[in-house]
Amino acid sequence: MSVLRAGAAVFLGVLLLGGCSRQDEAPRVRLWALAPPEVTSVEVPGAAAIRFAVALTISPQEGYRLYGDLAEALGEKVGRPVHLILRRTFPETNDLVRSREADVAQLCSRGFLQGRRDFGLVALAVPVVKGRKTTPSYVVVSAESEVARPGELEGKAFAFADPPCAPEPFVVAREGQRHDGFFRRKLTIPSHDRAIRAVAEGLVEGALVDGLVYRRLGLTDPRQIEKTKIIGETAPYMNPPIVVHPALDTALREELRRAFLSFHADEGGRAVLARLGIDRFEAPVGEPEGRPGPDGTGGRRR
Amino acid sequence: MRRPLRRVVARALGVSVRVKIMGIALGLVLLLGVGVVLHSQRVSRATLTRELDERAVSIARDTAVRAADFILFEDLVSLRDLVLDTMAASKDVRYIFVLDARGNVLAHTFGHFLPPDLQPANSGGEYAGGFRIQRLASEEGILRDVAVPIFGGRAGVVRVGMSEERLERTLTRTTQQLFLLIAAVSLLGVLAAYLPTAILTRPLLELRNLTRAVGREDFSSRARVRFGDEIGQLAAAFNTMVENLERADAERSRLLDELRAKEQMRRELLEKVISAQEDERKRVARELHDETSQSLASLMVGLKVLESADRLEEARGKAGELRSVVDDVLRGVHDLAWELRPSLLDSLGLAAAIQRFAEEYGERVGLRIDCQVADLDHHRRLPPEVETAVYRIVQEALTNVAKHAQATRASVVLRHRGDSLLAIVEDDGRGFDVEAVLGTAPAEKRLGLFGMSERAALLGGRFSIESAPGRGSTVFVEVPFEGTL
Repeated sequence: MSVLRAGAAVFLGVLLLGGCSRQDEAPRVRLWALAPPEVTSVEVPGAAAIRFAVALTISPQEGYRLYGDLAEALGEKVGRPVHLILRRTFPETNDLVRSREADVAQLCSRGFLQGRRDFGLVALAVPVVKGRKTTPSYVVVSAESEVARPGELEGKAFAFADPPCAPEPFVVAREGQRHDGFFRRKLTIPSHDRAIRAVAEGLVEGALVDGLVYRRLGLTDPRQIEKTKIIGETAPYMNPPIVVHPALDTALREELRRAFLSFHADEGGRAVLARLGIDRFEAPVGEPEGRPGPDGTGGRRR
Repeated sequence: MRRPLRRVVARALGVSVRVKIMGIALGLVLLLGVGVVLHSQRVSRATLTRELDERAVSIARDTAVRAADFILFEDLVSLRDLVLDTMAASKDVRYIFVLDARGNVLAHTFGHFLPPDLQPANSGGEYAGGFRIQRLASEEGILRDVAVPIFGGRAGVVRVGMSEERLERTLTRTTQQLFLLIAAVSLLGVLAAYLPTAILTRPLLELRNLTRAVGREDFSSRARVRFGDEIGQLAAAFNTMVENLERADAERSRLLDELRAKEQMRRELLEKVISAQEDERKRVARELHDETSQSLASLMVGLKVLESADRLEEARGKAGELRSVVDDVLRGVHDLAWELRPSLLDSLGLAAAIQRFAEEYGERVGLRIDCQVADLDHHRRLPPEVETAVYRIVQEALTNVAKHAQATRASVVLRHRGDSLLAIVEDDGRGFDVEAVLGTAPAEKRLGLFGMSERAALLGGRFSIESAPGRGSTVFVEVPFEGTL
């Protein structure tokens, strides 16, 4: 009889062992719901937000980090929330400003000139970097590369960052050559920081990148910069200005201008500017040194 | 409750050994099989679930990385394409949806709207290891919802729902295959158990059949001892037992036959005793009537003649005749009485009675009989039944010698042997085959010998005859007297 009991106990044990694998009760969800969810407003009540659009020349996440801080600081200065809108290209940003979907924007000089020409885009402030309102673009290669001049890049793979903003004809034209057929392979990398990384990691042998971005990366990720070297540069162009629609409320325009021009006056503003690699914002004076448009106009070549 | 259980157990234990052994094999295979299936199902479920989770996290992370730019640039069309393409390219993905940092739904893989239960189902809490997993029960079965933050949560969160349906199907299929395998192994186990079971139980079945045969008193068959194992030892012991039983049965039969024969002899002896008693009475009556009565009648007539005698000489002569007649009558009566029972046996004891009988009988039948009585104290008496029995045995033996032996000489020896009295009657006659006479001779011939044997046996004594044709015969009687001398 005890043998029978032992056998029954073993059998029950085996069954219980199997039963132990059952998990806790899971919460129930209905995948085939008949009604849509109730829409609840997530907008924060209060003053209307200022919409700040940025045409990024860097990767969106890096851009979000940097311009997010700037937008936040701007919001603190004007006492209104600032909603950051990121766009890949200046035409998109210009469209936002033109359609008044953005109140204020920052974009490359070439985009500014295009906007000014199209609908009278107004520049409020220009960033000053290392005491200058203009910065050239650089031709960079790997630090270990034997290429010393842009002319030696013939037959190599070359990356253009942000082509709409890039001074395309420049690179080799300065040495009296067109680049069609000059490079073995021509790549388009939509952001300057990624183009620098492509050079640093040996994906391409050279790239034309924005000077501001290159310098800022020297602050935030110096190891990437150490892996590259500059072998040439373009003429300096106006740093990306802060622009508004010409019909923007004058009071708001002035408020924004004051805010940008006084960023360097307080500790918080300086910290944000330092992260962006900017000394301060200054009012634009005279004709900006914009990059030429696709038709070769609107920019001044040095 | 316990009684029906006991009945079931008793019934289960009452099945044949063959069924039991095969049942044990089958039971063990089934127990092991079920254990293995349950365990493997548990392990497989854990492994497959872990793999499913890992795939879900991988898909969600990949989607989160790729979705970041779309979210930051507010490119919702590309975001929707991304989630649709990702879902189409991934197995087991039931849904993907993307929420922005404020919880707004940016893209999803459902038709018109995201089911309202889903968004709050796996919200809140920490992202341990960069993701969060929640098990959800839906009308389509269990789902594993994985949440992965986009751009550190600043751009929102990707939620990927993995269906366990294929996992369950795989488990079910595996379990079914395992059960099929167990069934096949059980069948093989039963078949494999059959052969050894048959080998094991065949000797037991043989022993059972032999036992039944022995029960019917058939001792002719023997169990086959195949091996030296316990069953072989049992068979050997059984054979020994059957041999002993057979011997005992033969002995019993022999004793029974002997008993029947003895019974028959006793009955015949009793008949003869009764008939002899009747004969003896007839003889006594005839003797009294023919001899004694005639002599007394003659004596009566003589007395009447004497009464009427005139002369003394005549009377004296007649008286002398009458005395002679009386003398004859007295002798006749004496002989009659002697033949009925020798008075010497009562008065002087066994030795004297046998000596006297030997002398008289020898004279009467013309046989020379030597009588030797050694160590026998004439003044001390044996118990009367011993004396009578030994006397009658000796008397019967000498009568047999006179009747059948054609002997010229016979001898009677009486002596002590320990606490017994030994009587030996020997003759130089023609002898006989003892076995043949005792075994096959007609009852009347054996009856005398049987009577002697019975007399000795009644007193706890022994009786035997030694004889062979042409070599005379010797009768030995030994009767214990238990120190009565």
